[in-house]
Amino acid sequence: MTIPAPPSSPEPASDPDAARSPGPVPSRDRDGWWRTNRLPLLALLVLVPVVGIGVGWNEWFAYYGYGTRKVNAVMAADDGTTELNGATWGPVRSGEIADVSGMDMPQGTRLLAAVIPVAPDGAAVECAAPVLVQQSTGREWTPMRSEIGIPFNDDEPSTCISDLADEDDPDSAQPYSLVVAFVVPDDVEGPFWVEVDPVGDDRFVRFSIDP
Amino acid sequence: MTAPVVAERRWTAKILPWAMTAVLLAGAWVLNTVALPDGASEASFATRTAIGEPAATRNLELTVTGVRAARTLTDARGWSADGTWLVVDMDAAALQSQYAASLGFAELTIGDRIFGATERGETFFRQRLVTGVPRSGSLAFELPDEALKGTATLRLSIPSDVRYDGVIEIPIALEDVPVEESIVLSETGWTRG
Repeated sequence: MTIPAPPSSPEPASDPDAARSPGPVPSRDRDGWWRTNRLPLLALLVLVPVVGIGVGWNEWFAYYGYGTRKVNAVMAADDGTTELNGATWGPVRSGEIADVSGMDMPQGTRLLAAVIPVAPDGAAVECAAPVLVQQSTGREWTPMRSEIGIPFNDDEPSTCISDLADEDDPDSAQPYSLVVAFVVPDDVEGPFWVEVDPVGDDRFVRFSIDP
Repeated sequence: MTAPVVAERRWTAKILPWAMTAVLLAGAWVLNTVALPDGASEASFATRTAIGEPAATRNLELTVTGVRAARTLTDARGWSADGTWLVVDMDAAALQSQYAASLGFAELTIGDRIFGATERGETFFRQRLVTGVPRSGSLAFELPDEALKGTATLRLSIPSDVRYDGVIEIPIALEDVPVEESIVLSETGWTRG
């Protein structure tokens, strides 16, 4: 009975330097590495996008979330009105004010006005001042008033107001109209959006106008 | 036959740690040299321009039309104060959005010292800007008596916090600025002409 030779015998250590350096890894072993680490690699394939999406969503939500910014546009229906956040908005009336005599208008501009009726269902609603947006570029204008020499007027609010028919009943808010004007350079072509953002959630009212 | 090999190996063993130390030190020095300063990741994007030359950054388009200095400053409403005043006249407009668009950042750097635009009187500081329609006005800086020397850098932008955001920079040679006895600030309004 003899002891059988082992399946692979180590190289005789004749050259110590050669024995220390492993030399190029045979390709079979490299394939082995990928195979050995198949599970972690698959996990990476899943985890890297998940982390990217998770971090991105978190950043997005920190800025746009909680209903504080306008995100989702609600277009007006065929009759020009929109029901949103406890009020009926529209239909919008808009146009260019041709006669600007007596106003302090800059050269090379036109004055676009918009009137947006607001009919609260019961309690008064809150909203920021409407914004004019050029549809092709996304450039934005906010209402101008004192800047063009038009004094403040109670009957022409630029933000949502609370006008109660019965002082003791908070659900008796009366309808009114937002009246705003925008100073826009002559070379800025329509169509535009007029956007009103009611306080409450991430939805906002959007009307398309082309004065 | 083995003696020289052993000697050579001992010599390598002695020199190698020193060589590696030198390489690492040199590497550290290079890294330290090329590394950007602290806060570089949130630094502003500067757009340099000159007096009279229009410049634009993210949402701001601006031209400094004149720089003046005076001992007495008066605004359009009659407010007045003595001191050493540097007055900067400009035309400015928003480019993309009027939302939160006002001239909210105005700093003058002279040497190591930074001065903010005055909030006294009626100036262009924090006044609303309009998309595509320039407005004109003046900023005023209240300076120490001896400060009108050397070159100052005026930095202007929309947000009060200009990290990550664009800033327009205008160098001003203070010795060339005429010092008048009294200046009336131009009233903020639409740009004419």
